[in-house]
Amino acid sequence: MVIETRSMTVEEYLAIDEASDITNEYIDGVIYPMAGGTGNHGALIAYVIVALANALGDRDCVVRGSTMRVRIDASRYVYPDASVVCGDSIFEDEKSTILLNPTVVVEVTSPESLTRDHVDKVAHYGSVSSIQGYLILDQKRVFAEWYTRAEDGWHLRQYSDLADEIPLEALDCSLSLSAVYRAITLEA
Amino acid sequence: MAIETRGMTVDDYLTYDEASEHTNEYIDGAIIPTAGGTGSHNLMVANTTIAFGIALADRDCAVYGSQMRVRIDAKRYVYPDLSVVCGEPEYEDDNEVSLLNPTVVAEVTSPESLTRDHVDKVAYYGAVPSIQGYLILDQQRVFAEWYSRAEEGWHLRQYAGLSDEIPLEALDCSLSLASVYRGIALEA
Repeated sequence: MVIETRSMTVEEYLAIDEASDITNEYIDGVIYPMAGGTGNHGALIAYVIVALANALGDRDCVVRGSTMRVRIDASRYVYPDASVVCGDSIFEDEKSTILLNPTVVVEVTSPESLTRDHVDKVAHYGSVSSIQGYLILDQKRVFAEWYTRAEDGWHLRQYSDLADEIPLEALDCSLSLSAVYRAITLEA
Repeated sequence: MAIETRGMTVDDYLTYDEASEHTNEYIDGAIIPTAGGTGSHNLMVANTTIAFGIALADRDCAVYGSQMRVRIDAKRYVYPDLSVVCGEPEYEDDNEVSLLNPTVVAEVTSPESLTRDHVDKVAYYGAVPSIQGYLILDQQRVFAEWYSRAEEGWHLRQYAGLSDEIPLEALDCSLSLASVYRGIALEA
């Protein structure tokens, strides 16, 4: 998965990512190409984006897709599967390719990304002060983790029932798992 | 990893586990042999046991090692790497082999157990009302997650500094990562 192990500068990364047909994350000098998703992965992302947009209604928030790069810090840039920004979006660059202030980020896990999404990205997103919530959706089963920022660390809740509604306090709305997992072929 | 996936009963499992030379967990009818740990894994479990023992010296709490089976519910039995019981331990059976009321449990991750420890076991331990805290220690690097029970779900904090002290509110004591990682060779 790692294509280059020597330490790459941020400038080199940004140039490579811009020229690349796929998106690439950058963590501590290493470039991680984002795996092309399976059908389920893409469908889940689409449904969660639609569900978030519906839930947000006419609030002053925008939902952004998987091609929105987010800056974690000077040595880390990632592409969440979806991002929500409430209020004005702030970018690092004039071309608006690097978002600095997501309010909520979403990852849909694949078997390969489980540890990154559940461990590393919890830390990464925790270090971005604008991020009030981090939603992880499992591609293989009805299972969601909703991290909300606590005074010190995160508050974590897990959901595994299709009838569950996740209260997205940070967005003042809720998300139903049935809407997210609609039409997804789940493992028996 | 599971050696039997269809409908092994709890009684079959308990008999099998008792006759087995190593420990086995039981999840929804499947038996999952607990991998023999590496030297680092064993040393970290020992270090952590010692650190808990010292921190809890004059409290009414006991520290149990990796051989203590814990009942999650009627379909799930696991072996935490370490368990702490404050007050009287309660067992499911007269032989005192299945503990019902740990106060804190700890897991030292191996690369193979990362997802189980960080995702599945967070749910399992959350379902045991006596468990007030769940500690995950990474074997490959200085990294700890401390889940403390919140009103709904968990409060999660992550630690990655060797000088960090984890406040274990549930036990009214703290744990230093330096003591846990003493003698452990870490990745660069």
